[in-house]
Order: sequence, then C-alpha cells, then structure tokens
Amino acid sequence: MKVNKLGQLLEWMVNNSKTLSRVMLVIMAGLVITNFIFPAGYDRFFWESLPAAGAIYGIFSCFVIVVVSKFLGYKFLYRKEDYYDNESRPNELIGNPADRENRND
Amino acid sequence: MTETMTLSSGMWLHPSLVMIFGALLTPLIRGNAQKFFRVALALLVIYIAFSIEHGIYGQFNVAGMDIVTGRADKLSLAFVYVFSLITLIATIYSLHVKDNIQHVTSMIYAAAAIGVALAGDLMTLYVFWEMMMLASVWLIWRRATPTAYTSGYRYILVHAVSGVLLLAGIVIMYGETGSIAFEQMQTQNLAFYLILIGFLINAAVPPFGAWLPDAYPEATITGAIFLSALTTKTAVYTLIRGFPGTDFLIWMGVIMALWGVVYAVLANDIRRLLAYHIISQVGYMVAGVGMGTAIALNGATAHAFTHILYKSVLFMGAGAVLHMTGKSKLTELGGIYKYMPLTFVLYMVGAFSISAFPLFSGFVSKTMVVEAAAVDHRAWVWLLLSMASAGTFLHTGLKLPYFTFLGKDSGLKPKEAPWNMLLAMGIAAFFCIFIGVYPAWLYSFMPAPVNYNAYSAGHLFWEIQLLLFTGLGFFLMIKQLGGERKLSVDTDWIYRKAGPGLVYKVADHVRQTWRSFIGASLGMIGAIIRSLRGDFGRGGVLGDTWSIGATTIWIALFLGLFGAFVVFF
Repeated sequence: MKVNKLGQLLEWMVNNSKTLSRVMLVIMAGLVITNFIFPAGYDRFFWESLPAAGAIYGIFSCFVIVVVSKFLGYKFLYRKEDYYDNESRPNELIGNPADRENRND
Repeated sequence: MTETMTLSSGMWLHPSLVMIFGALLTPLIRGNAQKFFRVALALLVIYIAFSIEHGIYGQFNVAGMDIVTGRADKLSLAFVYVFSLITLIATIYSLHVKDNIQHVTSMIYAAAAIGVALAGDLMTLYVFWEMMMLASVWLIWRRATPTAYTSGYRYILVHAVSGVLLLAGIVIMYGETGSIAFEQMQTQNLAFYLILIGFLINAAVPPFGAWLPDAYPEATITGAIFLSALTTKTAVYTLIRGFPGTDFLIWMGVIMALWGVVYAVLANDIRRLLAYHIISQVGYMVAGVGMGTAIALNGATAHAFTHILYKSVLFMGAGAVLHMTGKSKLTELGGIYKYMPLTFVLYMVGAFSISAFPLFSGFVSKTMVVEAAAVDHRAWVWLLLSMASAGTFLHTGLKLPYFTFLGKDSGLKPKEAPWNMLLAMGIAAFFCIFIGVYPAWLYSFMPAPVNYNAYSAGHLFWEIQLLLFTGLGFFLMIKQLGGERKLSVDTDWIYRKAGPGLVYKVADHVRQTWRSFIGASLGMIGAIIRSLRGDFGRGGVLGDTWSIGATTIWIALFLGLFGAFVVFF
C-alpha cells in the first residue's frame, strides 16, 4: 500500500517524536510559568487563583483514573473474553438439562 | 402551552412525515439514483429544519386529548437542527452500503428523533419514542452476527421497558391532571418518576445504561453513527424539557461522567470505548439538567449539539478502521496511521473536540456546563467533571488513537477509507472546528440568551494545563494503558448472567424436587399396593377363596339382617 503525502508527514513526525515531545515539554513549562505571571482571574474556588493548579490536577486525575479503574477491573469487573459467548449459541444457553445437572458451575 | 406562542395556521409539513415517506420510497430506486435520492432527501430535511419558524403546528384533538405534533421553540429547534445535520452526515457515510433495510430504518429512526424533539404533547412523544426503538434495532441486527442478534434483542427489551414506563406515567398523569402537554413536570408524584425513569433509560444513565455499550459496538459500521447521535440525545432533550432543576440528576450526571471513563479504561474494543464515552459525555448534560440554571441548560443543549457532531467523527473514524481492517480491538490494531492518514487526522479533530481543546467544539460547550457548577459554587461537581474531562482526553484523545493508529506495528496495511466515509468525517470535523472558532453560531440556537465567554484566560489556562499534563501522565503510564484481552461486566450482567443463572437454578431445583416427589410417590403407591395385595391378594384374609358352606352361612346371615331391617324400619 502506497503512503501518500499526508502519511509521509505523519511518518516524519513519528520518526522525530523525541524532538517533538521535547518541544511539547518546553511549551508546557512555558505555559505553567506564564500562569505564574498572569493569574487566571477567577476566584470562585480557592484553587482557581493558584498558578499551575490545572497542571497538577491534570496529572493527578490521570493517575487516579487509571489506578482506580484498573483496581476495579482486576478486582471486580474483568472477565475472560468469551464470558458471554454462550449467548450466541442458544442451545448451549438453554442447554440439555441432563448435561447441566452433571456440570458443577 | 405558553401564551407567547402563536398558533400558526396554514400549511405545516411535519419534517418527520417527509422523512418517513422518503424512506419508504428509497427501496424503489436503485443504484446511483438511490444514492442521489438519499442525499437529496437529507438535504431537504436540513432545509425544512432550518426554515421552521417558532410556533405551534399540527394541533388537533383526539378523544379529549390535545395533540400537538409540532412545538417549535429555541430548545426543540436546536435539537432538530443538529439531528438534520447528522442525518446528512451519516447518510453520506453510508453511501457505499447496499442494504435497503438499513437505508429505510435509519431514515425512519432519524425522523422519529426529530418527531420527539418537535412533540408538544406526551402522546406524540410516546409514538415517536417507540418508533425510534423499532427502527433503530435494525441497525444492530443488520450486522448479521450472532452477538449483534442477541445484543439487538437485549436493546429492544430494555427500550421496551423504557416505553412502558413512559406510557404508564403518561396515563397516570392524564388521569390526574387531564392534560398530556409536555412541559416541565411540576409535582413529584408517581407519574413524575415513571416518566423520568423512562427518559433516564434512554439517556443511558447508570445503572440503566448498560444497553448502550452492549449494543452500539455490535451495530453495523454505518448504523452506529445514527445510533450514537440520536437515542441518548433525544432523551437529553426530553430531560431538559421536562425535568430541569431536578436536584439528584446533578449527582447522577457526575457519576455517569466518571462511570463512562472508568469503563473506557477497561475497554479493548474501540467502538465500545467510544460508547462508554457517550455515557461519560451525556453525564455532563444530565448534570446540567440537574443544575437547571439558564447557563446550565444552555450548556446541556450546547454540549448535546457539539457532542453529536464530534462523537460522529469518532465513531466514523473507528468505523472506517473496522471497515478497512476488519478489526476493532486495541490489542489487534496499531501502526496503521501511514496507510489511513486522513482517517487518523480527522479522527483527531473529533478527539480534540471531545477533550475540549480550545478552538474545538467541545471546549465551548463542555466548559459551559462546568462553568454552571462554578457559578453555583458546587466545588465537588466542578472537580469531578474536570476529572472526567481529563479522562476523556486520556482515552479518546490518547489511548485509542495511540494504540489504533500508532503504537506497535500490527502488520496491517489497510487502504485509506472510501471517499464517502472521508467526506462525511470531513463535514462533521468542519463543524467541530467551525463551532470551536465561532461559538456565536452555536450560541444563537440556545434556549436562553448566552452571555458566556468560553475563551477567558481562566478557562484557557485551566483547560490547556489540565489536558497537556494529562497527556504527560499518559506517556508516563503508557505500559499500563494498552488494551487487555478481557471483557468488563457492566450492570447488564444482571440480565445476562444473574437472571438466566437464577432461572436455571430455580428450574433445576424444581426439576429435582419434582423427581424426588415422583420417586417418593411411587414408593408410597408401591407400599399401598403391596399392603393391599397382602389383604386382598392370593393368601390374604379378604382375597382368598372360601368354602361354599361358609359362604352360604354368610349370605344367610346378611339376608336375615336385611329382612330385619325391612321389617323394623
């Protein structure tokens, strides 16, 4: 399959992702520093007047979401991929009563 | 009806009727003419939608009930506009499909959604509500896989419950007040809760929302675009209309926003991940309805409008990947950005919109709901909705595109999606950016006048920092974030596992009991037979043969007794 112009541009970006991510980090640092110089201008909640509050809350949220979700997943919610498969095979779902009585589940 | 509304006499051509009539004509036309016809019909719908004037239309009286088929005000028209736009977009997206059943049902489905938005009374609303269900289920079934079949059945059953609750509420309300007008519900009686739960089921509010991520990922690729746009958003409309300021909806909305995010972390199927993010985004709207202030309701309406457009881009992008590769699991995809660059870029427009990046549509609507929480000084609501916003970017903006388009090379070398898919995505992506850059266009449709500026320094600082540092968090934890070959159970577990399991348990128990009853009965009957045989059988006291002499004496005795009886009595 041929890779077109846009694909090539994206490929270049992926190949230079190290540099681009460094540029991104500089922009992010700049943003936080700017926030120290120019306050956000809201004070309905105390954190709105704190500089870099969004940055801290962003990375905190990210961490909380992943940890809590994975915890819930491994502890309660995850099942095997074929967990519901017998639904698409109605005979198995209803089953032969004789077989079901011999099964231990 | 409010007095300010004027009863417009004259011709009223209900857009839904035009659409249903057009849908029924579709199968009669073939080939390219049919494609042309479908696009023309969708364009006509947009024209009709945008030319509806405010007012009350199509009013008549049936058996003492005031039926109002057309109530056009700011709120209903905002939804009619966006429904008509998405009908065109989804129609273009499905131009390559050769399936008349889907063409007919998808158009009727959209017609019904517009019918709900225009309904001025609850009876009309109910009719279109059920029509939506009956039409939309075909968009799931026509995928023609075993899972689509069972999932479609569950979908229709859940929505049937929603319809029954709604109808019961309407009947009770009519009995009590004698009116079926669809206005804000006043008294919190039984009818209030029945109708509310009916709406909440369609809005996919947990714990009633499991039908959505169950059904949408199983739907046809093109049908999912209609589904993702219409059902939940008509429910949001009915909530805004009927239940503004219902306090507990705020917390239901917040829980909903986070619920979707948690399940999106666990999802492996890309369309299921997006389906969970519908739940998450509708959570913002439900929270907005709960707050009930003018800015909150504007926010809910605006967010529904932008959501339909950006969510369609996301679903179209995921659908294009599925269409071209035949795969929809994160664990099976990766490294295809080179081959589907336009799909990737357009998908990212949708992703930036749903994540509320400045200059994209989500920013001007989502921040309005969050701002409404700030105005009311609801700190927890504000913080938790912001957290859900970070989670949205984490999954639809980073995890899904990273593991689908970038990441490790899966070896797949698909072609770019067909032109009609790209065109449809392009139109929707255009609106995402247009609304983000020029929010005044969107705000002019809102039910209340909007004096809200999304692009304030405070919003920009907070939102950009939140998102970029969420991005940093993503790359720090990327090892934990890939898809896992697992399935996560939602509340549908109750009717998919627990219910059937319980039925089997009871059935087995009944069978066992019946068997032991029969066994015991047979034992008892056997004992009776044995004891009878003992008395009456050969050799028993009563069963044995007696000598003639003894028999004669007995007969003589009984005859004597009988004679005595006759003589004395």
